[in-house]
Amino acid sequence: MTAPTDALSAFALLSKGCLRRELGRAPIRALWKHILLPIAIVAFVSVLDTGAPLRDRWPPLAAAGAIWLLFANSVNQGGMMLWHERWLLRQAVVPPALLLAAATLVPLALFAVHLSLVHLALLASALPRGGAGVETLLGGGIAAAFGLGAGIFAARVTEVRPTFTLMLPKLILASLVLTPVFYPLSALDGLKGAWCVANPLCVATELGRAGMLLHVDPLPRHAVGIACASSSAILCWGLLTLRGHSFVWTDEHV
Amino acid sequence: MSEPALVLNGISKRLPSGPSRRRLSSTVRRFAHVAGLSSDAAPNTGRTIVDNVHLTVRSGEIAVLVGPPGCGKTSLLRIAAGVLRPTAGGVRVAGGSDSLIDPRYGWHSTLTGRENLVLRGVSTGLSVSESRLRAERLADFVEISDWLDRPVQDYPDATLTRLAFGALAFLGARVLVWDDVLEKRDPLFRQKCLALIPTLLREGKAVLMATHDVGKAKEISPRAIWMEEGRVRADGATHSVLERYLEPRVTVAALDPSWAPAAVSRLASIELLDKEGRTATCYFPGDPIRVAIELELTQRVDLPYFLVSIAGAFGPIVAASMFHDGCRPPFIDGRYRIECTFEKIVLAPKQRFTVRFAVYAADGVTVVHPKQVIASFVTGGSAASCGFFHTLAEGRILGGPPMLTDYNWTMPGGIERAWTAKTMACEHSTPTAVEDNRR
Repeated sequence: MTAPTDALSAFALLSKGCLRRELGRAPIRALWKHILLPIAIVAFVSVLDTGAPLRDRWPPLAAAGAIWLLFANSVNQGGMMLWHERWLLRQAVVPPALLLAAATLVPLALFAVHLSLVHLALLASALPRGGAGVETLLGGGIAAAFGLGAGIFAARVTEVRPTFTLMLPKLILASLVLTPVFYPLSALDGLKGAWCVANPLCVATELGRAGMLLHVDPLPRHAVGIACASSSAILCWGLLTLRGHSFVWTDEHV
Repeated sequence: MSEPALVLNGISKRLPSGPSRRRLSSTVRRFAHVAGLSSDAAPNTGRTIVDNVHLTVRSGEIAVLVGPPGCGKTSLLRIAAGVLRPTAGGVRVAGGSDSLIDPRYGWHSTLTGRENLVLRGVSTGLSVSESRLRAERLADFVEISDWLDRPVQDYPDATLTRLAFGALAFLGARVLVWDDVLEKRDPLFRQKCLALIPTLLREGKAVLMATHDVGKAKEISPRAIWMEEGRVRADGATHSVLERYLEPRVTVAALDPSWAPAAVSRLASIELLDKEGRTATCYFPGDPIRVAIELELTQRVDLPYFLVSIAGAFGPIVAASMFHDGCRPPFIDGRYRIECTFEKIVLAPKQRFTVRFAVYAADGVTVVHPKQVIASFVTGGSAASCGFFHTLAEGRILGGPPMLTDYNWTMPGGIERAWTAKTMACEHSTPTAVEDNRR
């Protein structure tokens, strides 16, 4: 595959395959998993919370949830696509980076849908909408880069130890607990600064909230820069491992 | 002479060594591999499966790899196809390659067969429109037109194999690396594929193929390469290579040289004996096969299970298994000798067989001695010496089933002809007879 048009045709086909895998094959299941279930969870948690009026409870949760879902989908449908489609990569029909690029479209498309839903809901509730879209994009960028990098490593670990696929959903769920989605960043109190450095998703969710809403917790100094750098570093490291090695390891593990 | 299309230069492949006691170092190594800091998850210090192979296949040429199971044919094909990384050496391919080694390789699971063919066509340098055109042609040839617009993940095994062959033969690759998987999966369709080989060669494609069917190898290829224990034993005209390959003989595997760190047992001696109890030099159809094994154990093992099996080119054909008969020694310890005799087994002439051996502990799961090929042999005799006198018999018996058994034909006029092992003229199993047979 040398000509750019060939790569473009292959990219289009791969994108179609990845979208069909997640959305086209079972649209009802996809609707439940990606739209109805998140809405149900946001609604349920908002009702549970008694600290503030209901009208003010759901927007921060929905905004942070959209960012966290982008991360989770980037792991599952982004980086892990290298594992799901390992048979394709074994014959070296397409370079892994091209498959990864096509797979990235799925979490990005879902993020666009989630963002639209949040904005529509804000519009319908006549709630004040937030600031700059660039903050949402930055938050999304951090979550996607972190998720893709983590997904590549998850795919590599799964090749060496296939039972890791059973552990991955639990780890992703743990990341939900460790990220201020269901609670505000201010709840972390003194740990806020260290937490933001350790977990780039903290910054991503706060940026998401800032992009969509008006009232957000101020982020610690340099937190955005550190989160951008660490998530980019994880993604770049993952991409470099793609360049260095083909995804044909299982043959080595006879 | 046409230019080289596939060049394998000093190819070697060693397997990663087995699990070591140094758990920490192996964990660190695996972590480094996952992190992209090391290319291998385990050090390649295990068994050598391909050893310094030099090979050139030119455009318009076919070369067929023959050899017993486990001799390294498929590993060499995988290396040639770029599916497996060699430990040493290099592969040079002119004009792009495609392979049929495992039919599952190279397909996006949710794309349809047609979309996958376009993807593969584009990856071999064809335009999208040309790939679509060829997809139509190949779907007609491999008879899967009804399946072409369904996702590949829905394909049954045989259909996927057909699609994989179609991609190999009809898309743009100049070098075709072909493991004869159709031999087992779709024998009828295989005939059609083999008949296509002259056309592929006329188009200037180079074919490297591995097969167990030596009869077909003789028909389809003027060049054969005999591999044994990862090395090329002979490379040349098919008839002369096969003549050497199918020379009647008995070969015993090398004994375990030293104790492996975690091994409980090692093979101290292996013997294949004839019916008089002497070391066998050749087996003829109908000869009993006696396998004598001496194990050296580091610890006492109570109520072990022994397994000895004989395998032909397509897998095991007979087995003596203590899992079946329940006849077990109360314990084994120190040096322990055991013999197993296969009686009344009529192996086909001029075929290769391997003898495999394994020992398990009383729980039936713990491995005392891992499954291992301990010997191989090529049966002597001929179709005529077995009582088959038809003109095609000598050629057809080469790639035929590995065992013979009594049978008869019942036709409207009564029994026309029967074959029984008793009618075999093969009442010789001495080295002299081997010489006679060669003559």
